[in-house]
This record gives sequence, structure tokens and C-alpha cells, in this order.
Amino acid sequence: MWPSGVLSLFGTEIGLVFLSLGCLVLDIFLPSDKKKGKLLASVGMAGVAALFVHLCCQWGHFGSAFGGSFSQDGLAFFFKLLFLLAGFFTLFMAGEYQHHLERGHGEFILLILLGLTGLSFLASAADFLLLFVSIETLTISLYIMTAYLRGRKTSVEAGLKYLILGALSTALFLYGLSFIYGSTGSTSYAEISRKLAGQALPLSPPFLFGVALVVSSLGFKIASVPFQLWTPDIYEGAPTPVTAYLAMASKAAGFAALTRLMLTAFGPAQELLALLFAILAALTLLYGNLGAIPQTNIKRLLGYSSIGHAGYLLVGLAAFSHAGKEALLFYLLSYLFSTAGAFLVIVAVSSRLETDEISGYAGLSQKSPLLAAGMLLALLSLAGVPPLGGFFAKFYLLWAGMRAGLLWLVVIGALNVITSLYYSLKIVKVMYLDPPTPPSFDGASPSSGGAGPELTVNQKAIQYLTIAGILVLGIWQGPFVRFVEQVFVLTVH
Amino acid sequence: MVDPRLLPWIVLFAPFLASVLICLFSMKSPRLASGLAVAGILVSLAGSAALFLHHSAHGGLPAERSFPWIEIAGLSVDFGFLIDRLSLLMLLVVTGVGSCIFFYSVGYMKGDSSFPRYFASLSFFAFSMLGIVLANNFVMLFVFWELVAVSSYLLIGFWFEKPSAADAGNKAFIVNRVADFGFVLGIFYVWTLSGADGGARSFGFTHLESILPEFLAKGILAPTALVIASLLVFCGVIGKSAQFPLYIWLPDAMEGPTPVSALIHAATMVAAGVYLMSRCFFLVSGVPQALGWIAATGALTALLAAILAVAQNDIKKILAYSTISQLGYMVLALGLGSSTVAMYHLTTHAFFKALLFLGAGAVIHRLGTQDIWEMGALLKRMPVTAVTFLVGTLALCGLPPFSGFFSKDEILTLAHEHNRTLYVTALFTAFLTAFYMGRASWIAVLGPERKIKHAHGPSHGHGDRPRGEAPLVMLAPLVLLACLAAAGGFIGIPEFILGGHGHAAPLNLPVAVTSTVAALLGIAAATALFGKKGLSADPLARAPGKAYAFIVNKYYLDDLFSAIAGFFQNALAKILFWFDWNILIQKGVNGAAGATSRAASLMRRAQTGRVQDYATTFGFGFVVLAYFMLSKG
Repeated sequence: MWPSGVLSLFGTEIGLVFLSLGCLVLDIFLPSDKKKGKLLASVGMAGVAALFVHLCCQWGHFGSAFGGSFSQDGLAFFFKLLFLLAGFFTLFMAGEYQHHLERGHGEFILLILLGLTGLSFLASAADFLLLFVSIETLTISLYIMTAYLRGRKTSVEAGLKYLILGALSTALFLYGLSFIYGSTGSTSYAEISRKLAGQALPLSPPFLFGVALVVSSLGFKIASVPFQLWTPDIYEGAPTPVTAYLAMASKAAGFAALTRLMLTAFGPAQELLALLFAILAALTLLYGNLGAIPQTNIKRLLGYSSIGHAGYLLVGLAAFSHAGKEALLFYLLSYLFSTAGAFLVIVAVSSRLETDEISGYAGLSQKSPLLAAGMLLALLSLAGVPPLGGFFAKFYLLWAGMRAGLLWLVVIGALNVITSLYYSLKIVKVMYLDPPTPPSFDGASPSSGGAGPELTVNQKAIQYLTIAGILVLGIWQGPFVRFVEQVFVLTVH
Repeated sequence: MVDPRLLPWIVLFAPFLASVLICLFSMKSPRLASGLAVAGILVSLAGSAALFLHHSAHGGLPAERSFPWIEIAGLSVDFGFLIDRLSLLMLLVVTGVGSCIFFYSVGYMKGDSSFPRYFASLSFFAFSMLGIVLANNFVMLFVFWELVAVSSYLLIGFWFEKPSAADAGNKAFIVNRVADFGFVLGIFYVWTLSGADGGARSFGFTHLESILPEFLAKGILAPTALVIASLLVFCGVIGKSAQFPLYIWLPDAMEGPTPVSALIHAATMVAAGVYLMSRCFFLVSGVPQALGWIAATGALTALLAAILAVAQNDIKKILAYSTISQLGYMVLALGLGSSTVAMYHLTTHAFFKALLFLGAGAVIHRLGTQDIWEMGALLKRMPVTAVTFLVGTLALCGLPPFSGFFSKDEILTLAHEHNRTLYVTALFTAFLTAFYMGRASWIAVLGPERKIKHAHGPSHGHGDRPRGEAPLVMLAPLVLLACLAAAGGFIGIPEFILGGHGHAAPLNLPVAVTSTVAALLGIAAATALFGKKGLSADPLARAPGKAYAFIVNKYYLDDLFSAIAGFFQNALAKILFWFDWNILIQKGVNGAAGATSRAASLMRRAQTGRVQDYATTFGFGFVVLAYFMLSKG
């Protein structure tokens, strides 16, 4: 018998499973067309929003289950909130994206929800096996979604590349897990750290070898150098909502796993890993931001930019102090809103323009001021301009790095702000200063003179939501900083 | 009844909400825009009144509530409200006078092509100003202080198509930046001082108020440090409250619409400096040296501005210099050690100066000129406006029983007790005040009707000028303010600030009589010079020597500043430009950018697009990682 109330620890997961099943059933009974996809997306969004509210009410109701392999604590709570938000935005984009899909309108939504279920378990995973299963739940739905536009070569190519490299990453993970299990005799984080605490240093080579394998595998997830090469190709080729999902949720998933591991099972190797992450952070920062400069496709550019952000986030792991961890979470939150804002604009523009080339954004400020403003704020926040969320997140993170004595890394991070500002402002210039290209706007009737994409009320509302998120995180950080502080106070380690 | 803890939020954010809503939804509908703006300020007024009533009934002052805003270890800034007698009084002044002026604006700005933009800016100003009043710490106050500067800039340059208006906006903004530089330094210096005992540093007013005097008493802090800190903070006051030598922006700011001049550049924003000093009076109250400087600045400003007002022909400029002069009085009161008296004069001044500006605005609106030599016979043409203007004049001259008498008299009494020179200066300023206001009244209001030589002033949107008296929506605020200006001395303002413990400076009969006589002398002199019939040119212009030219040219202070700026532009800036362009831009920036681009294209070559290459890199990457782990571990 489980002690009473244990079941309620799984509220989010149970809800997500039922939501997925409900969508599956609806999918069977409704005729397959774009409308169904939109309807299912709305159902999904409503469900996710309800689970978000439900989860918020569960703050403080923490505990663990399944012999300690599932742990609902502050960290899990934070990442579940983050993933639900990311799922919410992705579902909205998927609803808007339906007319690009030829078939399987309903399944697309279903896959997002299943991925979200995996993410939710991942947030709570306190055992390597549960971690593995939840990662695979997420990744397999991502493989399918990446290759979803079967008529488009780039999408299929991206899907295949992602599958091959993803399989490689999975193999490394399992291989690493076998070494860790072999040297410690357990897969539970708590058990492993207890065993290692009893041993004398240095750590045994098999364990370290296993750690290196697991970190490599997770490095693939977060797109850190030298496991980052897939990112631009897949970001460009995948359907836009999937790209957004990769950026918002999949990256955060890697950091969720790494943060918990650093707190528990990898705790004994923390200093060594911090040094490793510092080096990786520097390389990742340089690669992502320099690589973004010559790009002409906005999704590819954001792919490089997401590598750059992985570099910043790694600074938080490198400076694994209180401030470093908290800054990491704050950064993920601000990155979520900024990325969502940018991808919402990309979805809206690409559904009218049929292009993701930056040159297609010429004169966007005249065609649709709200989209241009949404993109502007998102880009400036990503680059780290005050008073937006991204600025404070970077400031907080670099300050934590400074406190941890990583001055050289902080200097590299600060210099990369300039680079990222450069390629962001190039897009801003195209949107605001270049004259609109003679529009090949589908749907824009000649009488409207290319007046631009008419936005629906929903689109406007969601866009305003991201803008509000970016601004609030930048202007009034106090409550959020306190929140991430509390997250670690209430985390088992 | 609303929860009193919610009231500050409502008071602060109602005008902000109005401004946002106007920007979002009613840029094309003037009617809705003015409705929203007026509703916003009325809600604020109601909130302030409710707050006042609540605290009068239940006490509980001061009440402070704060919320975390910016938090990093070692630095925490709150967003908080400090409600005490000082902020309650100021809230009522800002929202009360503000409501009058919002209503008045509906009539004054009618037909202007940018009507909604005007109300959006005005509401935004009200929000920023209320933020200053409610702030419980230096940083929050400074943020709103700057927001006020922005809205002031927007409103001065409201008719930006006129170059003079755009320039005036710039001038106000830039001059204030110079002053705020000192203010920011002051804030951080105070913050540093607050940790002098090794404890946590703070920006909060209440905390600072409790620890700084203690530090001083214990000898942890040298008095000199506090002198420097308070004078740096005072720099902000010199800019915002237009004190010598930075008052030059205020007369130019009269390029804005007249209700703006009334609200921002007479009644509230310029008084924010005085409010700031009252708020952090604990900085200066214990250091006589700082007080001395402040008093001297105030007295000098009062005198210099009053002299300048004598030679102005533009009615708004006269009122502008008079405002500077009165602000000088308030700062003098601060320097004499009484923030109560300063706040008292601030309040009465807000009433009568807003009244005078609105009266002048009604005349400008009607006649289309700002030159007093083109007005006249207003008692006949616009009787209500003329009478209220005269009430405002008498209040400003400080004649009993009008409100200005009481507040000015307290300042003079204080000066009489402390310092003979300051007393004489203040008394002479009172004489000058009565003289220039008498001059303006005789020429513009009581004198014969004069021809309009050429129509200037705000010609925007006033194609056909209405005949006769101003519309009711403009007259009602005038009458209301006239009542306040007349009776403001009897409603117990200083008692309220002090919490019902009598006057800060009890009535001193000889001083009261002397000041009244000085004012009467001023009016008499003005009557003798300007009360003659058939006067068509200023008799002062015939004064011997270069004195008149010196005054008309504003002591050449603007020219001096221009010359200094010119020197830096022409000599120093050229050298710096050469260095900047040839060394920094060509070698540094372009060099770095070129290197970055080259690195970027190299990086691009690594991205072959072949999944085999990716997997190989992946594998090698892992090998390096594993080697690192094993060799270092």
C-alpha cells in the first residue's frame, strides 16, 4: 500500500496521460482536416492551462514515490511549470501551423502532449532508469515530429539526421549508465551519492568514464560543443512549432537532468564537472554566436543562437553556487518567453509568406507593427538588452560566474553579448528600415496593398502574453528571484 | 470600502492604465481619450481622498508596504509605498490640482489634431509624479523622477513641428540630465554610507532616517560625508526645481501647452525637488553646513528670478520666472531647517500658480497672443477669468488674507530668526513679486484694450477664436482654484503636516506687517508706473544704463552656457572625434568586426551538412571529454 496522498504527487503526469488519451479518442471520431487539428490544439491548450493552475496549487505538497525514483520537489515543480508553459506555446503554434500539414493533423497535437508527458516525468526523475525512459518518450515523439512534413525534403532530412544522432546519444547514455551501475551497484541518484560519499577520493575511473558518457549524451540534448552540429540543420528543417519545442523544452530538459544530477549522483564529481562545463561553456558561446552571424534563414539563425544560449546556461552549471543555480533557472524562464515570442512571429509570418528567409521580413514593421514589435522585443531580450528579461538573466548569470571566480568566462560571455546584438539588430534593421518587398503575400488581396498579415485575437493575445513575460521578468524580478531561491530550498539533495 | 492597502496601487496605476488604454485603443477618438484620462485622474483623486480619510479616522501613519523588486545578494531594491503626512498632502495636491487641469485641458486642447496623444502623455505624467510621491526608497523615486522628465519632455515638445518647442524640450531634458548626474552619485553615496557600520546597505527612506543620525551621533560617519551626500542629492533639486544656475530650462519650457505649464512647470513637477528634500530631510537636518548652502541657493534664485520677471512681456514667461522665484522661497525654507514650511508654501503655490497659469491660458486661448502689451480690458471682456486672475495675483503677492500670505510669512519669519541677509533678500523679493505681478495685472488685465499686432502663440487647432468668456469646462477649474488660492491659509495645512501640533513658525506680527507693507509698496510702485492711461511701451525700457539690457538678456547666463558648450564642441570634441574615428572606429571597431566575420565564415565551413561528419565529431568529442575526466579525476 502506498501512503495516502502519494497518487496526488503524480497529478501533472496523470493529467497529461489522460489529456493525450482524450486527444487520441477525439482524433478517431473526428474527420481529419485542419479544423480538427485546431480544435485538438485548443483542447490541449485548455488542458495544459488547467494542469498549470493545478500544479501551482500543489506548491509545497512534495514527496517521493517508487522507491525514491520519482521525486516531486522544488526543482521538479519548477521544471514542470516551465515545461507546461512551453507545451502551451507549442500547442498554440501547432494549431496555427495546421495548414502546412498534409495529413495527421490530430497526431501532431498528440505527439506534443506525449512529449510533454515525458518531460514531466523527466523533471521528477531521481533514478537513471526513469530518466532514460522519460528522455526516450520525449525524443521519440520529437523524431516523428521533426520529419512530419513528408513532402518537404529538408524536413525528412532533418528527421533522419536527428534520429541517427539521437540514437548515438541514446547509446552513449546506456553505455554510460552500465559503467555507473557497474561501479556503484545502483541506478538511484540517492543511493549512488550515498555510496560514493563513503568512498575515499579519487573517484574510480569506471565511474568517471560513465559520467563522461552520460554528460556527452545530455550535451547532445542541450546542444553544447562538441555535440552541437545537428542543431542548425534540424532547427531549419523541422516544422516551426517543433523547432520551438526543441528550443524551449528539449534544451531545458537537458538542463533539468544535469542540474539534478549535479545536486545528487554527480555531486562527488562536482568540481571536476564544473571545470569541464566552464570550458564547454566558452567554446559553445563562441561557436553559437559567431556561427549565427552569416545566416540568412531565421530558423537556422535561431538554431545557432540557441547554441549560444546553451553556452550561457552552462556558465550557471560551471558556477554551481547558490547564485549560479538560481540564475540558471531564471535564465531558462526568460529564455522560454523570448523564444516563444520569436517563434510565434515566425509561425505567423511563414503562414503568409511561405519563407523563413530573413529578407522576407523586410518592412514587417509596416505590414504588422505587433509582429515586428514582438520580434524586436524577443530578439533584444535574447541578446540581453535592458530592461528586458534576457538582460537581467544574463546579468544574474554572469554575476554568479564572477562570484565563482570565472572572470575569463564572464569576459567571453560579455563579449558574446555584442556579437548576439549584432546579428539580432541585423534582423531588426530588415524589419524596421528596409522597404517592404513587393509582396508575394498569399491571401493578401491586392486591394489591401500588402497591408500585411491580419492577426486573429488569439494570436494577438498570445503575442502580448510573451511580451508581458519578457517585460515583467526584466522589470520586476524580485518575486521570481525569490521563487527560484525557494525552489532549491525545497529540493532534496 | 476598498482595502486601504490596495489604495496606493489604485492611486498610482489608474492614470497609467488610462495612458495605456489611450495608446492602445483611442488614438483616433478624442472624446474617449479625454474621458479615459479624466476618469483616471479622478480615480486617483478618489483613492487619495479615501486614503486620507482612512488615516484621519484610524491613524496608523506612517504606513509602509514594500515588495521585492530587484534582488541580487548584496543589493536589494523594493517597490514600495510610504504613506505619511507628507505623501498624503502631496497626493492630494497632485491629484486635486491635476484633476482641475485635466478638466481644463478638455476645453483648452479642443480641436487639436493630436488631442489623444496629449491626454496619453498627461496621464503618463500623472502616473510618474504619483510614483515619486509614493516611493519609499531612493531607487524607485529616481526611476519615477526620470519618467517625469520623459513626460515633461514629451509635453514641452508637444507641438514638435515648431522648432522652438522641440528645442525647449531638448533643453529641459539635457539640463535636467546634468543635474541628475549629481543626484545619482548622491543616491549611491548615501547607499554606501548606509553600510558604514558594516550592516546591510539600504535605499529605504525610513531605514536611512533611523540609522544615519545614529551613525552621526556615534561618530561612525563624519559630518563632511553627509554634507557631500546631501549636496549631491540637492543637485537633483537644482535641476528639477529650477534653482540657480540651472533654472534656464523652465522659461523655455513655456513652449508647451498652457495647462501643461500649469500642472508640470508650476504646480507639481518642479515642486518634486522640494518634495524630495522634504522626504530625505534627515540627510540635511543635522548638518548646518549643507543647510547654509541650500538656503543661500534658494534666496539667490528667488531674487534673481524675481528681477528677471520684471522685464518680461510674455505673460507665461512672467509666470515662469515667478515660479522659479517661488521655488527659491521653498528651497530657502528648506535651508532654514523647516520642511513643513516649504511644503506649506508648495501647496499654496500649487493653488495660486496653477490658477494664474490657467487664467493666462484662458486669455491666450481667447486672444491668440501671449504678449501682455496686446491684451487689456479683460475685466470687461472675460470677467470671470479676470477676477480669478486677480485673486491669484493677490495670493502670489502675499497679501492677507490670501493663502500666499500665510505660507510666505512663515518663511520670512524663519529667515528673520536665522539670518538678516536672507531675511532682507526675501523681503526685497516679496516687494519685487508684488511689483511684477502688479505690472502684469495693470497692463494685461486692467489696462485699456490694445491691438494685437500679429497673432502668435499656440495657433494650433484654434482656427476661429471663440468670442467672450472661456467655456464652462475651463471656467469651473478656475473658480475652484481661486477659492483654494483665497482660502488656502485657513484649512490647516501646516497643522496637518505636523500632526496637529501648532505652527512651525508662529505668526510674528512685525514680520507680517513688514512683508505686507513691502507687497503693498510693490503694488503701489507698479500702479504709479503702469496704471497710467494710454501707456503703450514699457517705461522700464527707458531706464538708464545697461541694467535693463542685462536683465532682458537673462544675465547672459544662457550665452555663458552656450559658450561653454561651444568650446567643448569646437575644440575638445574635434580632437576626440579624430581619435574616435581614426583609431577607435577604423582600427578598433571595423578591425574587430572584420576579424569576427572571418571567424564566422570559418565556423560555417565546419558545418558540412553530412550526418557522417556530425557523428564523427560527436564521437571524437566524447573521447576528448572522457580523456579530460579520467586524466583530471
